[in-house]
Amino acid sequence: MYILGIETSCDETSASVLKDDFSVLSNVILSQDEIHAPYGGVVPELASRKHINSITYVVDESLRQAKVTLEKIDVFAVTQGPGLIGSLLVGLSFAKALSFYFEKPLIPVDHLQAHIESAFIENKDINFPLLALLVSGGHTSIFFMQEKLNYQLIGKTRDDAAGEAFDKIAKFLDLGYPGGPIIDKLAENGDSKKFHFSIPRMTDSSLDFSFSGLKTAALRIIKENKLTKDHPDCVDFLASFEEAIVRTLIFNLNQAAERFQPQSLILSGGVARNRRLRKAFLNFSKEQGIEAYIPSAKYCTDNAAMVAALALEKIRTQELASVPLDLNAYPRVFPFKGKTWKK
Amino acid sequence: MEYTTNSEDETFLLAKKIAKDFKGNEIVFLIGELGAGKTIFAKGIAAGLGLEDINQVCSPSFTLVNIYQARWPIYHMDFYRLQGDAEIEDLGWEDFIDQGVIIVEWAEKMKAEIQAIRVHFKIKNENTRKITISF
Repeated sequence: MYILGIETSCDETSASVLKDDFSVLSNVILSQDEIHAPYGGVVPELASRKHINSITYVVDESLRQAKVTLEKIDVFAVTQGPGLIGSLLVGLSFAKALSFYFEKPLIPVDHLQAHIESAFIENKDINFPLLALLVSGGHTSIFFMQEKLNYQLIGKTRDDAAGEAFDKIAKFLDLGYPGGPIIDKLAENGDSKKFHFSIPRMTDSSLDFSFSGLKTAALRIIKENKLTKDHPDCVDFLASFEEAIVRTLIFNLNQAAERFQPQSLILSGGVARNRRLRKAFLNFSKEQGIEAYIPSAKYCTDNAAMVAALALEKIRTQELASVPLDLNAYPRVFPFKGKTWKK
Repeated sequence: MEYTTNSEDETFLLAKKIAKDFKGNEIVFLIGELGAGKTIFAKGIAAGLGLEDINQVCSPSFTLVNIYQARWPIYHMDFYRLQGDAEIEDLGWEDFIDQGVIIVEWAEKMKAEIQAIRVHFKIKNENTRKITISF
């Protein structure tokens, strides 16, 4: 059995073909970083226009690399949300049309749940219960999973996402786009203790994150020290800022681990490629004696293999039922208002 | 009207108070530099419009449009990454007009003349903000 996954929730157009043994036959990702670079950020309708222009090519390419034809695809999977509505609708409409024409089931999946699933592509036997720390440009969340497909959102950002904080400080210092990878590189040899940042703490014992205070503190330090990208202290500043974000993430993960006693930890999302974060995450799990999993870079970033993999997991454990073709994209994070969503 | 707030909480409460008089089709432009308090102000508006869980109000810089269901739908947008009116127009945000309350961060990126409540933020020091609101 073959499954075709499609992902268009933000600025990557991606298509992937998986076999029912979860082997990834292709995972084509058309990143729009190059297109966006001159603008210093994601440009949305440029993004969704680009999805329209590129989706046929990306799907064709994924089939070609997998050496299968559309007629051979047994199931179509697509990201339904959350994301930018115009972008989501391109992938969703495309997948609906394929499902309708070929009379094959359509399985919608949640983007954040798919990010967690990305860790399972390379590691089939991750033990439950687990905690997943999901860090990207648009999201910063911790999920608890008691078992497969049972997602409980236990913490999320109340203002900026971690990746967004990197991006904004990078843009403010005119370092270029995307900000995260640039800061990762520049901060590598910086002294992370040179500038002091207070780690934000929630007053209500919640596992939620807040990064806007760190952003404001960073701006104050930049102004007070008249930092520019060419200033000799800039790399130390970036290292200190990066360290503060990483410590904030690990602090909440630690709190969550104490409460939920997981067997495994997963780190995923685009910012999971950040080396300081990976190192801190692996150190933390080692200290705690908890197994740790980080997907390879191609599965950390937005990609369709994780979409297809999650759909396969759903098919494996549930009745294969296609959804009605009037299903719509949802822009917000699911579950809404703290409800636990269980298959 | 001009206000001075001395903390995030005061900024939040100011926005909440103002939003209580909204009719449900307002467009609010939030204008001010990075870290000036725009997202906090948006949270306050959402609270004033009866949104129960204001923690779901996050910065839309990356996601571009966040939608919340309060007394009316709230379309919380951010033009931070956009360049030029053509790209802003392409976002299709005008479809939201009269569908609910529209809040736009980094609205100064848009050159087009739009009838809106304009909120300007000035950072006086770490905690103090001068907030000017023109209806």
